[in-house]
Amino acid sequence: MGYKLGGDLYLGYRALVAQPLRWLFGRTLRGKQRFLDNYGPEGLVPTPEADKLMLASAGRCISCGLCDQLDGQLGALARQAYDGVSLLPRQTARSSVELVHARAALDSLDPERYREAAAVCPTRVPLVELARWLRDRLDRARS
Amino acid sequence: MYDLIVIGGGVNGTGIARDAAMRGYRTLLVEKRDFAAGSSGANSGMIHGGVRYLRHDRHVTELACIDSGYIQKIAPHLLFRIPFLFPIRAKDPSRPTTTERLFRYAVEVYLGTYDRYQPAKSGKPSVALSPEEAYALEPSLARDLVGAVSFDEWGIDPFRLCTANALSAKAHGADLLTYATVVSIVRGDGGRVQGIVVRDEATGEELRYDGRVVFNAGGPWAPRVAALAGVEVKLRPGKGVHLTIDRRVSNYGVICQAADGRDVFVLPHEQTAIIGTTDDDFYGDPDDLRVKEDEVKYLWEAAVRSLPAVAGARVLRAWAGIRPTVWEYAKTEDALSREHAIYDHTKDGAPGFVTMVGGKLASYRIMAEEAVDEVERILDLPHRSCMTHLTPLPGGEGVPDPAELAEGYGLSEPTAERLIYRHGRKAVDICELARREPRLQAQVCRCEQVIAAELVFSIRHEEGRRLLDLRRRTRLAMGPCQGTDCAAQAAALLAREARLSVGDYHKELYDLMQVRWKGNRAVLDGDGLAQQELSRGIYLGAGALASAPFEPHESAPAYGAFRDEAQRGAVKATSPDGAESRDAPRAGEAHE
Amino acid sequence: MIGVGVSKPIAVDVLVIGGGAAGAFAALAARERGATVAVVRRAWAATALSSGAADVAPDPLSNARTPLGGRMSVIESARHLASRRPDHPYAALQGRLALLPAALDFASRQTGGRLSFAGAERENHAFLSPMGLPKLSAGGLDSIVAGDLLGVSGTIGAVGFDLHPIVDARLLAAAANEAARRAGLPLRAVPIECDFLRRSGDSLLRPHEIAARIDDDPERLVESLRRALPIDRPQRLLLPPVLSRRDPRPVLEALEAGLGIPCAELLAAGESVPGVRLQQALEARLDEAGIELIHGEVYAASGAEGDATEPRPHTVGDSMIGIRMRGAAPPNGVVASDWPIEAGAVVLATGKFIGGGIRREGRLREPIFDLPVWIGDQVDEGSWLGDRTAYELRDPQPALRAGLRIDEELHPLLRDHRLLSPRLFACGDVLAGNDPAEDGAGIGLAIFTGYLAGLEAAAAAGLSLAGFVTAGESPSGERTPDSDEAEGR
Repeated sequence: MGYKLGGDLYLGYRALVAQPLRWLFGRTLRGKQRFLDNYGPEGLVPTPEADKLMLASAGRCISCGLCDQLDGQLGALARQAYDGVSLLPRQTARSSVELVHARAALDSLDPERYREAAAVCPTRVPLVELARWLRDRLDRARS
Repeated sequence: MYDLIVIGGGVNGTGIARDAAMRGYRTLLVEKRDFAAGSSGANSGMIHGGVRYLRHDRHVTELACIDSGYIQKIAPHLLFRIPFLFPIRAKDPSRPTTTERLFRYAVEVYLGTYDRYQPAKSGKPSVALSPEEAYALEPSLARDLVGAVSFDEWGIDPFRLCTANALSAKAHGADLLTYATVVSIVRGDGGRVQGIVVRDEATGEELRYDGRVVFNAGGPWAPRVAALAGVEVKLRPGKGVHLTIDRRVSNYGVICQAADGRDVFVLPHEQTAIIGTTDDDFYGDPDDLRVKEDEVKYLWEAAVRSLPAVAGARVLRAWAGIRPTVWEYAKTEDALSREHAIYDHTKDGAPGFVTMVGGKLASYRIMAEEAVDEVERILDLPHRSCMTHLTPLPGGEGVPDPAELAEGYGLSEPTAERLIYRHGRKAVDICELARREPRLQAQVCRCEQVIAAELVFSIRHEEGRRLLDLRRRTRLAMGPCQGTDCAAQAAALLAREARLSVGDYHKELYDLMQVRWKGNRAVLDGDGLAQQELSRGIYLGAGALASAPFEPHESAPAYGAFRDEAQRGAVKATSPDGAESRDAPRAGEAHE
Repeated sequence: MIGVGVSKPIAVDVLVIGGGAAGAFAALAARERGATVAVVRRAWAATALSSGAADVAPDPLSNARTPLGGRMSVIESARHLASRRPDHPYAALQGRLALLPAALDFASRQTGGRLSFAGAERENHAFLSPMGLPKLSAGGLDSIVAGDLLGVSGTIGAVGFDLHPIVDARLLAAAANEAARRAGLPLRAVPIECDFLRRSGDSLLRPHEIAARIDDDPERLVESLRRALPIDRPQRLLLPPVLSRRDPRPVLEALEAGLGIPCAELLAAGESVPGVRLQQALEARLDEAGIELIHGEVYAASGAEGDATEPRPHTVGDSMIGIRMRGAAPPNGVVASDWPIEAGAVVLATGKFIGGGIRREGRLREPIFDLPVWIGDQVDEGSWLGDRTAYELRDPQPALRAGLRIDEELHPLLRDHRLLSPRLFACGDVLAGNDPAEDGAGIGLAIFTGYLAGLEAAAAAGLSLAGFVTAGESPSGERTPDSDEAEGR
């Protein structure tokens, strides 16, 4: 009990003396920009609502691989960078932090060429839009 | 004769084994299943700085932050930063009450105080945000805020943490035995504990190991282990349920409020998001944890209320763990201390037997240090200094660059990146393996980017014996498809590498899919049902796996075991007292 | 063929919603009875993902110890399923199981033999599953049926590629030997690892890419296998199911000519190439039969034009109205916005969860007509599916059998067992009481129920019923598909 009281007293001091002083000397951090300065450089960027909708669409993928069977770019692009369009919902669209590592694939693919693949997707993952969005997301992360 | 026998392959057991081995003690670690197969693998995966102790004892916070910094130093590859948002809610955000304003200030002060210790763990300072700013950073937040304050924490892959500790212990001379259940504790004159008898779950054979101290780090199973020595250890076990979302719905952890006012987190974890946790007293069997409807609904409601956009996300599974909390009476679950306790059972008439319970993932290293200090005290040994905070864990000696690794070995860069996350510098060894054996370049798990070489490496060098062990080591089958696409191939790789019998190959495959199903059935909805239809079509339909002649059970014995040095020290136990014959089997002899 | 976008209102005798096996055979059956038929489907689904086998019903006595069971005929096995499982579609259709042989013949005939069955009066084939276990099935794609373990004695060669993990030949051979021992089959399997995939990066190829390589140069595969064959030559080769993207027959011929050994394909697991082949074969057949395949989604409009009192699709005169379709964006770029459909009868062949015929968002729903979804004999009201499933994966999972209940004419039932419309039928995976994986009634059930639903729909649309109710008799309509091909379209 003793040190709990001590803890409360210390926090009281922080609240009544230290915090106002920090504020006075501009040592408290306020505002969105400070937050973004903290985390933006590490790729820990906000996820706008539109992005969340696209993430939910990508989350419909059940990894059946049908789209890959109709993906004309598989084989045409370097295998190291690109292993079929199903990678986009299953992998690339899972974390924005790692997105930068997928830049080779995203820069070389053509979203328009996924129409046929998207047309057979049983769970209706919007592959064309997803590919466009991923490139846009990467651009946003890079800027 | 071992100096120390550690029972339990969770973060405490592996941490203690590493510490003891590094101090030069002959150490044996026994675990009835696999590293991190219990509580240590079923938590939120955070190395936090002990922010909740700030009020009661800020010294604990300081130590926790310093230790978090150490873990970062010894395993730089395994940690990932999680910015947290602490939203401050109001009944009517347009007219916050004085109490709500005061609370907002209190949170600012509290987290501002936490900032004092952040530098020790390379944490970023907290930032106070207006409601509009909070909405701009996390647009999914329900619009009931009067402000928000950020704070900084670290996440970790708890499975890899335990494995890395165990492997480090081995590298320093410890012996590791997984799938080895302690069946009795050997007593000598005056009740002195002299060793243990374990059942090799692969063969059913019972083996005796002698040790000067037997350390019980059994977590939720600690009372059972203690009972073998005739000692009572009391826990106040708490069940904690989490949900996993298939992808990061946000890069920020958000503190949500549950129906009963408790805090529930939605936080990013590697490439997924986790919602957790519940905390309820648990009186059942820790070997049979099942998630209940109300637990799922409780978490889901808390998350969706605070972050309505989460409602559209795909929930992959629900999973449960047990907090081995120290016994206290007349306290609510949340008010229980997360502190640990070490019991020297000399006073209970079992000298040489020690138990540690309680604690938390984040403080495992310092707890292990304390535990080994206690062992030295009991054995009246001169103190040797602990080095676990200075020597890197395996793979932590330096983190390769993903682009360079990808380029050098013809790997995709995202695959290289995940490989490095899990293995640090050891990723290079795995790539070398793939270069030597080109068939191991194959991508086995596309969701979590696992190549065949990583699985084979885990089998050869990381004590991976079952397919479920490989899941824990590599996140195989832990991504969106939950094994649909990778399980068969991974099982075939294991079967070939470990020379499994056909029956064991089928059982390994089945048991992995069973574990996936167990987590999935509690959250079946939306496209998760389509995933099940596909997965069942492949394994039960086309594969006819259900027709294989085996008795399935997740925690059933391991197969195709590779026991090594550890068994040389063993005495074959014909009775619990142990026979004195020294004809312990050598590597390879015990199994075919 | 992916299907075209629609650009005009549709008026047909029979509208089939869903383009998998059930929908295709329903459309073909109705078409054979002379109906004008259109198929609307939103995507590929369970048929395109199937293994290449076409299960009707498992042998009821088959188990781990006696994998071949009581060697009962396919139709007896189906009757058995009907009698022990009152919720199963076969139970609702018990009185019509005599038509099963006709349905299977119809499927063979319509696919030009690509789908092949031993015959409903014969016992199930025994295939080697991708995991090396015996898998009983009435039939399947001909390249797979050729691998029936019951039809071989002596040595079989389990073929793999030494640098690709699609099949581990050694493991498969060991498993096949184990399976043969348990089943008492006079077989011995030997692994054969050929060097067809030897170039750098070959271990990364996806199954359909291997198939494309073999299509490009079957002779190279022949050569590679010739080098790999043991001196003691096997009597049959089982190859990974990647012999062709389109039609494995030429490849099989080349192999058999070059090696002098009969060859067959294994069943596929994931990323099934045979499944896509079957899907494409069915689509080609629809096209040949003059059935339009439309890429889009059907939905029920809330009431017919100006009729606010009828919230659901309903029947007026000879037509079922109040349904409309929304064109999805097809690959040809033509997007139809929204068109009314007029059909004499509608067949719902929308599949289960993969097909989208049954969805769950909080509760289980049938998205087009909002028909009640049943689990067992109860309509689901949003129960937690943890309570409707068993803990053990291989135990029966009632929730995964969720679907529509039907009467003997394949009309889906409302909650009170009345009909939504006498012109609406349902078939295939959308039906309740069947979990294809666990119950062993998959594409075969789709063929049987699709065939019946097609006949019923043609009849409901006011067309001839001659010869329809008698088992074994080949149905012959007054109008043949050739005489009125694409009439009015």
